[in-house]
Amino acid sequence: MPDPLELPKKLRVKGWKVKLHDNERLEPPHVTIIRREKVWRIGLRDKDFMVPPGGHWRDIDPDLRAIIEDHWETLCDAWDRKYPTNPVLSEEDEDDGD
Amino acid sequence: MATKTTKNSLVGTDGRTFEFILIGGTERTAPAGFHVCRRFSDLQTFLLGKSRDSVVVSSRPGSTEGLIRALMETRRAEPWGSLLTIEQPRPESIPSLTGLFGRVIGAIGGYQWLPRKELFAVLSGEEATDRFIGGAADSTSQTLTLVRGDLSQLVIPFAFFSPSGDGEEADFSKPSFADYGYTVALGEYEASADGILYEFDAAYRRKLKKARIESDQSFGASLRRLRLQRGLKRSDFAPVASKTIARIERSEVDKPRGDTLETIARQLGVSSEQIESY
Repeated sequence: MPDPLELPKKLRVKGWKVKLHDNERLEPPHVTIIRREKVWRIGLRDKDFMVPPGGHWRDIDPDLRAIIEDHWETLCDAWDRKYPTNPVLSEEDEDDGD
Repeated sequence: MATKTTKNSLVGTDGRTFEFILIGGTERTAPAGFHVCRRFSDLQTFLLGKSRDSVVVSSRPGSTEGLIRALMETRRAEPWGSLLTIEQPRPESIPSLTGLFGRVIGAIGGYQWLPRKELFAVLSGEEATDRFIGGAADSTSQTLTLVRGDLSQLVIPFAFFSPSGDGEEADFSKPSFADYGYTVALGEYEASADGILYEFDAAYRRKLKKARIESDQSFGASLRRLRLQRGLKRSDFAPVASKTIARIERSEVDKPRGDTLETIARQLGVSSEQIESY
């Protein structure tokens, strides 16, 4: 699908991409950040960097981080449309108290 | 399985060293990790001193012709390492190539590859095993064959690439590869290497599990991960009570056995032995 966020040219030129892939039905909700060979995956439930590959916000261009944080709901909504049986807000987790 | 690279080689977990040799390349400078042989006499000299794990990459039409001639002159009986033909060789030469090399990838038509710069980087990089450098779709058998950076191949049924909830459907007439082998694009549908490997490679799942920050590697933690991944509720395991599932997940009770374990595995769609690999 088209990338869920339209990034400014200066980030695209640096090789940054933000993606929600179409075959992640077994994975927790997450957004994938790509820059050339490097990949980071950030959980949409907890905003943690998933392991592997891990990572830290300091690895990400600050301008891209700001865009992602400003459009967090957009990313969550896009995930929920793509994976309606594995939504970001899991009632199960709330009900089970875990 | 690749673990680390040295200047011109890839060292596998078994200690074997892979050398990368590019023939027929038009690149002005050698890609990182590659020896570039611009004359076949160089190739002959170079290969004779190397291990059988060498990977030869043929990247220009016709370059395999000179390769065959050069290797025939060595009169070596044992097969050479692996050959990756980015450009399809002459069909009549394929038997010779498969006879000369232990493994030949891409010799028959239909393969699509990563852009060359990315392909070279993946082949000699640290993530080679977990990235896809190319592949070919077969609409008759409804399968997509994917080539990993370590040149092993995975055959995936089209059915795996089910439409996503927003209606995006895979178009197998247009496979392409991007993001240094992390993305397999089927038209507008994009699959991640992680998502594919997680479902089709138990060794990858084991590696993933080992790498997880979560220190909890108990059966209960595996059960919880797999249950959530499958989109199941704790109440979906009848006749096993949801409270029992909760206690197992929290490791408050021993790993289940017998009928309870079989019921759980059946609902998860895996064998009982597989649960702990998640």
